[in-house]
Amino acid sequence: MEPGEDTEVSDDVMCSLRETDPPLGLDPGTRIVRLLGIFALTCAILLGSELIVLFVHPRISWWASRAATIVLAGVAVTSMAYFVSRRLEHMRGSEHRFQQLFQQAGDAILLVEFRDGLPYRLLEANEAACAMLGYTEDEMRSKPISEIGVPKNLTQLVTELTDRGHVTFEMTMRAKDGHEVAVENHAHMFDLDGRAVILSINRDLTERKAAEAALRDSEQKFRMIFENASDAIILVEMTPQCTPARIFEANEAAYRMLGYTKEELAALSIADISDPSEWESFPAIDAQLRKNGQAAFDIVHIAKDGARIQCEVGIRIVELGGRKASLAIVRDVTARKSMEEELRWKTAFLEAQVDSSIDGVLVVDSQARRILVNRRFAQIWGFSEDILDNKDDSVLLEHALDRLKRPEQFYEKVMYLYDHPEESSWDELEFEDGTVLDRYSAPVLGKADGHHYGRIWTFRDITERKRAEQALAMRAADLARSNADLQHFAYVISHDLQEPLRMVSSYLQLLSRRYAGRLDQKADEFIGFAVDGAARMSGLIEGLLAYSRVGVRGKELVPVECETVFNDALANLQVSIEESSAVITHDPLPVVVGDDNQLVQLLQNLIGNAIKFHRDEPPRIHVSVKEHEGNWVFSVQDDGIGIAPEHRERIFGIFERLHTQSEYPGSGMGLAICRRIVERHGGRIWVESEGTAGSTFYFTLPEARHE
Amino acid sequence: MNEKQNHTRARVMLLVEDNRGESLLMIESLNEHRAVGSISVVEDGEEAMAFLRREGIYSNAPRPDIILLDLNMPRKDGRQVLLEIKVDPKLRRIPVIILSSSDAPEDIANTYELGANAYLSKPVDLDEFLAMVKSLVSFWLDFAKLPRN
Repeated sequence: MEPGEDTEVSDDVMCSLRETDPPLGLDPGTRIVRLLGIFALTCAILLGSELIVLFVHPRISWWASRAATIVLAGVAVTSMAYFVSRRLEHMRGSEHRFQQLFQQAGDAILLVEFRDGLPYRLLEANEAACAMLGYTEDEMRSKPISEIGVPKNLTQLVTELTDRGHVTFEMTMRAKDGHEVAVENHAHMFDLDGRAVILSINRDLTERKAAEAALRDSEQKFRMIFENASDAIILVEMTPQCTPARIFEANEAAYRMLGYTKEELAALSIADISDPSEWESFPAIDAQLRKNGQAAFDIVHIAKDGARIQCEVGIRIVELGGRKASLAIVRDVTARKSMEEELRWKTAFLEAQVDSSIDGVLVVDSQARRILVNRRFAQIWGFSEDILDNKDDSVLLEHALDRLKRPEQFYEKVMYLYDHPEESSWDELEFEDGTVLDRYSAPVLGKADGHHYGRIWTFRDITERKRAEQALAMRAADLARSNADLQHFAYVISHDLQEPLRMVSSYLQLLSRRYAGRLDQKADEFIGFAVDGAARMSGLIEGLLAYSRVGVRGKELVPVECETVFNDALANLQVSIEESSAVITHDPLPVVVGDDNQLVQLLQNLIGNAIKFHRDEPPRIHVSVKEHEGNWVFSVQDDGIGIAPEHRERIFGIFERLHTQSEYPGSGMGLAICRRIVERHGGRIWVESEGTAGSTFYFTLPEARHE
Repeated sequence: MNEKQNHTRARVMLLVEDNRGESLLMIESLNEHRAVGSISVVEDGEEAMAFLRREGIYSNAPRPDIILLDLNMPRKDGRQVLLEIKVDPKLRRIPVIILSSSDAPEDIANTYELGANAYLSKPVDLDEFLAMVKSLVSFWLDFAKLPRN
């Protein structure tokens, strides 16, 4: 410490803090009192020294006694001076420490004069106070106290301060730039040289307030997360031993998942909400938790209603208010587990299906890399194991191209499809060895989003089918050719064969006409047989012609009104009906799909036969129809001569006759034509006969389909 | 006076038939009834066209009032003859009656399509044939009014 400063330091600690502080100097009255004190003390020392000398040596000489007094007084004064200087030095050290304390205190310290029961003016402020409020010391001292800050409940605080000497409260101070600073204020009142002074120690609360607010916010935030988490969160007590631990906190999701109320759950332990089969795993989990501070595992929880809930659990140890607890985050994966199970099942199913497919299957990803092939694929293409094992797909393609008849076409198609991943295609491939494959290629797209996962190629060996198709096509061509032949044959019969026959027949007749009676009787008879033979041959040819025309000249099958067909047939038979006096009845007849001309011929032949093969009395004929298994079953029933059982099949053959021309004339083609017509319509024809009690001819026609 | 002339004038009939048996039968049949006038017979299509166009040996041939035409003939068949007649402005007014042993529907349809005036299918039975010829003569030569040359 500088000596110059020392001299200026007043005897008052606080006043000495500032050299230029007139208000803190001592007043003149006090100084006089002190000087008088020092003078009295000096006199007392001198008098005391005199008395001590006189008492020790009463007969001492005057000089000697004066000298001894002076020595004694000197000793006394020196001792005093020594003590006083020690005292002063001590005081200076203390004062320094206080000053340091004052200036370097972290808190803002203000010294305020208290006058008339109120804080009157600012006497001192430390550096922290200046920094806190942004003033210099001078600026601060020049400000009225009200501008720096006055607590709101001032009156009450002043009362408390004056009563107790100190008070602590929170208030707001205003900084130079106008912003407010929250402080905690410790105020002490004491007397300084007869003046009341308030020592105000202020702690800046801004940070504490912010920290408190942050803490509040954070807690609120975490509480919100906790309550709104979709996973169940359960806080469980950590006990020193591994005993079923009590649940002391859980979130909404936990209550929802387990079906317990908050109160119910609080009364339960972890074991109570777990499947008993899980209990034995608890010690291991507990050990892991204690060792690593965390653990993760799957568990089956049991809800209040007994439902089993598959869960995934993550646990970690947390400290809560000095207590150790385990925080468990529990996720219900029941749905996911069942989905996984279903997915596994589906995958297995699909794999089995692909592998057992009769088609060769190749699946590639969107980069055209092979993902899967089945056994059949290798088999169809004749790929050996080592070709398949080769990861390089170009090897596969090369081998494929080797087998094909038109490899460049295949290659182009493959490239095209890889360039157009959204397209499907279906075509045939032909191998060099004649094998034919159906090739189908389609993109594999995600059902929901249409994402392109790759492409599936399917190959089916259709060689056999192709051969069958070719054989069929050849047969169809043969049939068409044979039909054309038949048509030509029919024409040949109708024209080229009929013409010479006409010559024979006509000239024989002309002969008999011109020369009858001029030749002998035998000649006339011969001519008669010749003419009759020619006529029958003509009939046969016409029958054959009619038969051949059923297939060749057939019209398209269209809906036909059978009533009309029946009436047409009867009109054609009018002459023989009148001659035989036949009675022909019929049920209501349906509409069928057919060729009306041929159906007329069919009914005409059957009814005509029924009339022809009658007994002595006029024939009675009934036409009826009934439905049976999608077919119309027509019947033509007569009361004629009947047909012996052994002939019932024969009669439908070409030129088959059961009687001589003289008994019943005919070509033997009628029923053959009937059968051909019925078969062309997709039906069948047969006859039933009770020997001599007449016959019933049946034929079926498919019912008209309404489309 | 014209009608009277028509009635009295002898009719000329051209029969185009390669089969002599057929043509004789036709002539005999016509003769069964009454005289028709003149009947000319040619044996194929080429001859028929030459006759009608008065070419070669037929330069003096009469123009027929009616033509009886068989369909199936060697070289130029009846259908071709029919076509040529019906596209020729000088000939197409002459009625052409088709005589055939065929009753195939396509033959019938085709010939009418080409402009035939009638299609007759020859019956096997002589009596029926005679009846047909009688009707033919009666219709075409007695009742039908034919264009004049």
